[in-house]
Amino acid sequence: MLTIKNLLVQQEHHQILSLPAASLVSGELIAVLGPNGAGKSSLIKTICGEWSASQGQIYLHGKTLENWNRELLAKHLGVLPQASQLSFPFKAQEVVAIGATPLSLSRHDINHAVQKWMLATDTWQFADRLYSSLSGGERQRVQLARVLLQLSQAERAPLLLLDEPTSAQDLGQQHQLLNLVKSLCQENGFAVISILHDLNQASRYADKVWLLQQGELVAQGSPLQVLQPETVMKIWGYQPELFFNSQGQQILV
Amino acid sequence: MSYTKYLPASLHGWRRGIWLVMGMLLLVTVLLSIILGPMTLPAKQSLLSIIDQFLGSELSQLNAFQKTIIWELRWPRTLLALFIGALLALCGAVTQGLFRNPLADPGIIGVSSGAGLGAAIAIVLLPASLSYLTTPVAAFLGGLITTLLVYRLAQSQNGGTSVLILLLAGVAIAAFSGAIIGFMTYIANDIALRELTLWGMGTLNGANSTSIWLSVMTCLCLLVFYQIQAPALNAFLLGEAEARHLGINVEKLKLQLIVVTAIGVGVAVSATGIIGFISLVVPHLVRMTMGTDHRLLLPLSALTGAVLLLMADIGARVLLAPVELPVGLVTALIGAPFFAFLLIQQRKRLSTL
Repeated sequence: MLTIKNLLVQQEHHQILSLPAASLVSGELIAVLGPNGAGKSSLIKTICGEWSASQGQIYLHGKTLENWNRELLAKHLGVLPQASQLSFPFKAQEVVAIGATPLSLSRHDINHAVQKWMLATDTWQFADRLYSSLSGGERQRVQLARVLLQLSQAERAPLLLLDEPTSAQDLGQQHQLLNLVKSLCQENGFAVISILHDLNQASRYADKVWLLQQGELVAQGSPLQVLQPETVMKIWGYQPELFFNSQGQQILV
Repeated sequence: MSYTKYLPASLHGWRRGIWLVMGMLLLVTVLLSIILGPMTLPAKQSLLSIIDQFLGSELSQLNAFQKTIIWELRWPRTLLALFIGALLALCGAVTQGLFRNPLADPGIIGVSSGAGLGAAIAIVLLPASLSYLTTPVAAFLGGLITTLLVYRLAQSQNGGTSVLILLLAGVAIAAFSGAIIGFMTYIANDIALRELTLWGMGTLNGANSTSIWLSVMTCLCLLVFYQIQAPALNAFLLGEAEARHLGINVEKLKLQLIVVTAIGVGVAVSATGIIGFISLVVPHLVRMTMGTDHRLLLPLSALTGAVLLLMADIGARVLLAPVELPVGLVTALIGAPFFAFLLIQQRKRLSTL
């Protein structure tokens, strides 16, 4: 559903991202990994069209992003930003309801959908609190609920881009959130590209890993293939030990 | 009003009741505006006179002189106050949304000064016979250029706007236009000087049918246009990138809002001079009580702005009667302390900028 060809992103004559070929199909969860400054956020910004590529094409369901109708694209491509500031007093549920902007839903249906996605992201208990009074992790989950509402009327498999969704969450919430995303992939055919930092979370939840270093895609494949101790040593400069748990999943420590 | 289903019952009722309360307040204020002034008119007879005017009946026992006061002086002035108040509050609410900044007010960031500069140039340099047309147009152009300039100046790298630059730009523009208006005063002939002085005080005294019609039409057009854009404005508050991802043509939206708001400020400034703080205070009051959802915020701000400016005008007429204060002075008396209060409230956040 998403195909990237010969992608090259430059800013002020500096190459920040080069991606000869990458693709994903619906139902797939991709973890984007790499050290700081490797171009992970740049990749997300380029795929969602916030930055334009100097060269190359990005196809979503066979059409380049520019050829999509604005509102139709919004129903099929959702972005969870890393952190969102709001200097106005919106309630959490009002923020989520903004996700319905591109949709054609009645007020009643919006209320219903807001509740559904806030329950799914474990945010319903503070629906009436002001967004600005929430903690970083809570805000992020409210934003996730908003993005999931935005994608809830997709006619074809939607693409969800997550910029470090687990960064501000506690351990329990991290797994709950990734489980939710995983189940959306498996049951609703979502395709997800998520920046992650924890290699073990990547190997546990992701179907594939894209490994970035200095703006280059240095490796892609299953977590088992990509995340070998010597690769980790090469990219992050840290030699981990490899274990396997009882289900045969690899664990890097 | 949108998510009322999940609100506690008391708040639900409160949200619906606010329209009733504000509507009642509007009627009472209009009636007060008709009867109060240097010459107080009997309330019941005045009310009957208004009913007569609209129904064509003959209930009122006011004499001709009193009727003239109502229909030649107070009624036009009341209408102008209502629609300019609504216009100012609307423009304030939208400017704050556009800049994603609760302190961005057309008066504070210099848009009103820019519009005032345009109007002053038109009054002094352009032929007086065309002033009903040239003054609003020049005020609009002045406001538009200033908004574009301030927006360009204040835009920061991460897509937000910097409060510091906004406020400093306001200071610079106010100083610049103050100097030019002073210069205009020197070179103006007697007729233009009189008009410039009256207008410069920010007064509703100059209500005439042109300025009233222009304000009414502009106010209604803006109300409709903004209401259509209200969901987009809500999304815009999340951030420009987020709004774009929600399918909004952000560049087009910004340009439309800047132009339309400059029209609103231009019309208001050309009709009544610079009346400050309504556009800052009213949206804040509404947000504090009813939240930020623009679908509710905008119409309610318009209604509140209308009532508040009319109240200020009544105050201007009554406080030192028979002397009449410029209404801009009264709104500044209420508004400036409110602005200081906002600064204190947000000091922690602002001092990090």
